[in-house]
Amino acid sequence: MEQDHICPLCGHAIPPGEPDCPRCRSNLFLQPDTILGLTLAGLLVLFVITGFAVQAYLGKYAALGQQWYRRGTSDLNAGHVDDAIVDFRTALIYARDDENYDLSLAQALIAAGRLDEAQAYLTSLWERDPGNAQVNLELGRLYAREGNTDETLRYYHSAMYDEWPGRDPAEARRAVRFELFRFLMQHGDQGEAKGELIGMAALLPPDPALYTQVGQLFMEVGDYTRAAYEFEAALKLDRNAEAALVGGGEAEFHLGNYDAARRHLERALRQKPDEASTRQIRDMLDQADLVLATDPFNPGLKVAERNRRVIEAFKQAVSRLAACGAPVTTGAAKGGPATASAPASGLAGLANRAGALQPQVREDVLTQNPDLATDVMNFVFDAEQSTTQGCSAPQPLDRALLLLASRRGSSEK
Amino acid sequence: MSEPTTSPPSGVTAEPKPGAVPDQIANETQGRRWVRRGLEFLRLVKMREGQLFLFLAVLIGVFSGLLVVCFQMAINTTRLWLLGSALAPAAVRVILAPALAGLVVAFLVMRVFPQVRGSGVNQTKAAVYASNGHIPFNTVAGKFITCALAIGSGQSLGPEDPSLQIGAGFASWLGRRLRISRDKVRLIAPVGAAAGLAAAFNAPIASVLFVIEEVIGRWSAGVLGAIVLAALSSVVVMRNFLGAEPLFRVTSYRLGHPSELVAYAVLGVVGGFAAVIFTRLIAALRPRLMRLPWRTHYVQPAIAGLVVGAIGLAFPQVLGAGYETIDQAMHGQYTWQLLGILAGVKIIATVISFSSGTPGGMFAPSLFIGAMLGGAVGGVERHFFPGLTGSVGAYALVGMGTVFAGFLRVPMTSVFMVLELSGNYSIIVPVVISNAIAYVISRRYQKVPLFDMLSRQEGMDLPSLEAQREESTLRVESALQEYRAPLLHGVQSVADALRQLEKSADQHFLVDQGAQGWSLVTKERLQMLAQQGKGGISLRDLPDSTRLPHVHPDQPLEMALRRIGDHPLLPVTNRVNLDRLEGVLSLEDIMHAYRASMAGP
Repeated sequence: MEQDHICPLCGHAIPPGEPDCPRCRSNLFLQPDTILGLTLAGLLVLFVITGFAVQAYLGKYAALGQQWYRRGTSDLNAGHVDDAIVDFRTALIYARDDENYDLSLAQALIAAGRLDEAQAYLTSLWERDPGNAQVNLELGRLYAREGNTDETLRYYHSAMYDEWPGRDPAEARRAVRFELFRFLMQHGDQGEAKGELIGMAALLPPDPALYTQVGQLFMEVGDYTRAAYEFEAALKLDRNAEAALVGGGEAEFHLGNYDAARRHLERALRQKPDEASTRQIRDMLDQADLVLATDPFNPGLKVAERNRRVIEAFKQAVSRLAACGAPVTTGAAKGGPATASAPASGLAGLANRAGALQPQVREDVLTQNPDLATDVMNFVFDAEQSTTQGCSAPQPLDRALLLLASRRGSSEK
Repeated sequence: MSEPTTSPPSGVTAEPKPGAVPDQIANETQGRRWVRRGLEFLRLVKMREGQLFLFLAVLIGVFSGLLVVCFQMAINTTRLWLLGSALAPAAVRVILAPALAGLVVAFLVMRVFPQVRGSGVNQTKAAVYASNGHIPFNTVAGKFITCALAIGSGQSLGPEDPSLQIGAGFASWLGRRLRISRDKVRLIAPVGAAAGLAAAFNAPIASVLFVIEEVIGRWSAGVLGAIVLAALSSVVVMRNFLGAEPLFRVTSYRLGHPSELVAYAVLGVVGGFAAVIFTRLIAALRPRLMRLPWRTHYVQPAIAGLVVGAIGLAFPQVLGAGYETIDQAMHGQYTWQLLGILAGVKIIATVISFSSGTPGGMFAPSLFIGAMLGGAVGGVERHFFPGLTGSVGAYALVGMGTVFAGFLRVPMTSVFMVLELSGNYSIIVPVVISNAIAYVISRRYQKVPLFDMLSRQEGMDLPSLEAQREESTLRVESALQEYRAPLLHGVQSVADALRQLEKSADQHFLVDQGAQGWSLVTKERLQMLAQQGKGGISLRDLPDSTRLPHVHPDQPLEMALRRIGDHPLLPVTNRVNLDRLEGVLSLEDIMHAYRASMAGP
């Protein structure tokens, strides 16, 4: 064929009988070995050039990514969530491997309520780096918003045990626990919440503010004993910590340790708290004072004082019953103290008990029969507790008696 | 060495004429002498052509990887210049950039690089089947420049097909320059094609499969090793520069219940029909635009750019290859309604861009369309069946492979491509189901595959590799005839044989020679021997007895044709028991079978 006699390299005709083109054969730069050598040299050159070009290109892209990321962050901070999402997405075009950008985008999507999208980004991030505490935390928050307790616990716990580069890990983990505690409390899972608090309390550094904070959270879950312990720990580090003094006073108050509560509250007042706190402390202090002044079982009381308090309490209970529409008639019920201590059925029953007790509630009888004081006070507590609902608001003395009643219930338990 | 030796050229060079080289060396300058001495080093390593071919595969892979890295950077930098860095570019840029770039691209295509128009896959195939592996080097430069400009300006095309051609073009140039044999030059373009595609997709396995499925069409051990080496080399280079992350990041997938596969089957149906529509639109528009007066070809890409820009005003996601949009769809950014719309407008934009003659590939657009469609179908299905566990991202991923399989008609490549692009192997079952359905639908409703259609539009008749794959091979059993004549045995004497053949009207008789195989005698020859008084000779000892080749029933009929030669009959024997005759073939039987197959069922 004609085309077989044309050199494919130089395009000139190959003379008949020649195996290849003599022109190319004699040209050193058309020799295969030369071509191979030049190709290898060209490869090296291209490698170097590409290296520099890629460096410049990636640098440019990284700069663009940062530029859009900064813009997104400022948009997010300004509350322009939708703009921030677009900015973060743009940033990701230029630095698609940057986990911070992914994370920020996910956070912006969460802020915009676009949870499905956020979840896709976060899950993708998590699959790339399951040990990323921040990603776990965001996933935990996401599931918390969806109300999925199991997944929330899973990711929050992962966040707690993962590494926190660039942050104090203990502080970060504590913050995660606080968040988790809040979530569990909102979902009414007080037991789990208390468990998280106990875990956190065991790892607290010597910081009175932290002890106080944990103490307050223990108060929220109703564990006044642990709360009091945390407040005491805080006060050991800073004996004048106002919040710890108030918290300690409140915890002791709830535990029925009114003396201790009073001590803490008085010290708190000496720290000159703000007006609202002062009012709150004073209310509590007055209440504690009243309870202490009302309690007939306070150890160390003289018999006359005890009898006086029993008689006062009885009078208050009778007047409370009367105010609630169950007037007491002396001798209304037949029988002695045994009848009086029988379980009351409604206000009428209590009025009957009061009528039966009334003739005996005298100083001389109480002195002669010390057990009668217990019967009388049982009636008082029953009457006060029965009249808390459906009657007018209790007076301060009624409240004090109620507190004593509740302490009695606790101690009986 | 004081004097340069007249060393023989390496295995790649033709032998020089004796005497010619010393004269040439004697006349060379000092500088040239140093160059020649430098080359002595290379000659230390003597390679046979097979070894050199493998070495070149690595070299081509590395070069292609570098070129594709530069190509990707060129596209992205062009995009930054022309459209800016924002996700949704400014309206003026969106309208003007693709149109103005279209003008420049059209000028370059018409005046400087006329060969860059069209599909790179077909041009590589043309190099293999029609041009002895020749792809002009300026195609490499042309594809690089025009595609970077077109795709970077926002034309709805992808960089994979041009990358493939850049690799193939470089490989072809290197093979020719190194003067390797014509057979190897023909095969070296696909090697480069695999390297280019692998670097563009960051998917070496899918690229190897694509080149085998669509360019070479056969599993040839000789070239497979080179293709794999080239693909791996290019991917290693690309990852070294641009990172090893898969193209898309998808959350891991877990099939909740086997019944969910029905949802993916539905996606396969939708994807299959979308692929058919996509292909038919190209089939309808491209020839019409090609037939327009040649002067209009200067403005067709610009007009296409204007239309694509107008679409981009409302849907900026369709501009360019659209990888970032695919990634966002996989993360559930879009509603199913918007995903459906994006799939539709991307089909329109791509058909317009490609048909206008703007150079660029359709791999990325088909992935885009598939991802959007998958996400839309997934969104609808999840709306009506909230219990489905697959995420929208999972459906988008499966959708990518589905439309790819239906549109490009490469079922194996599409499966592996999805796995490699996402780095997610847990999704293979839905991908296989959906792809298979789309492929079957596409074959049913679009008889001519895309690449064959494009090559015919360009006036070429390249072999249809899908047709080759599907071609039923005629086998010996389809022409086999029962042997009815008496069967003779080597131990029989001539007289005995003649007695046996007394009543037979046939002329040719098979002789079972036991371990020696089969031979053939004629009645006439036996009678002649008997007349010569040689009736006592056994048939085994007959002078000039020709041993017959044999075939088996399952062998291709083509083999029988090659073996039968001038023999009137060819024994067909059992594979397990060679003494057992299954039948015979004559040349007439073979030709009859071929004629029957051409006449159709």
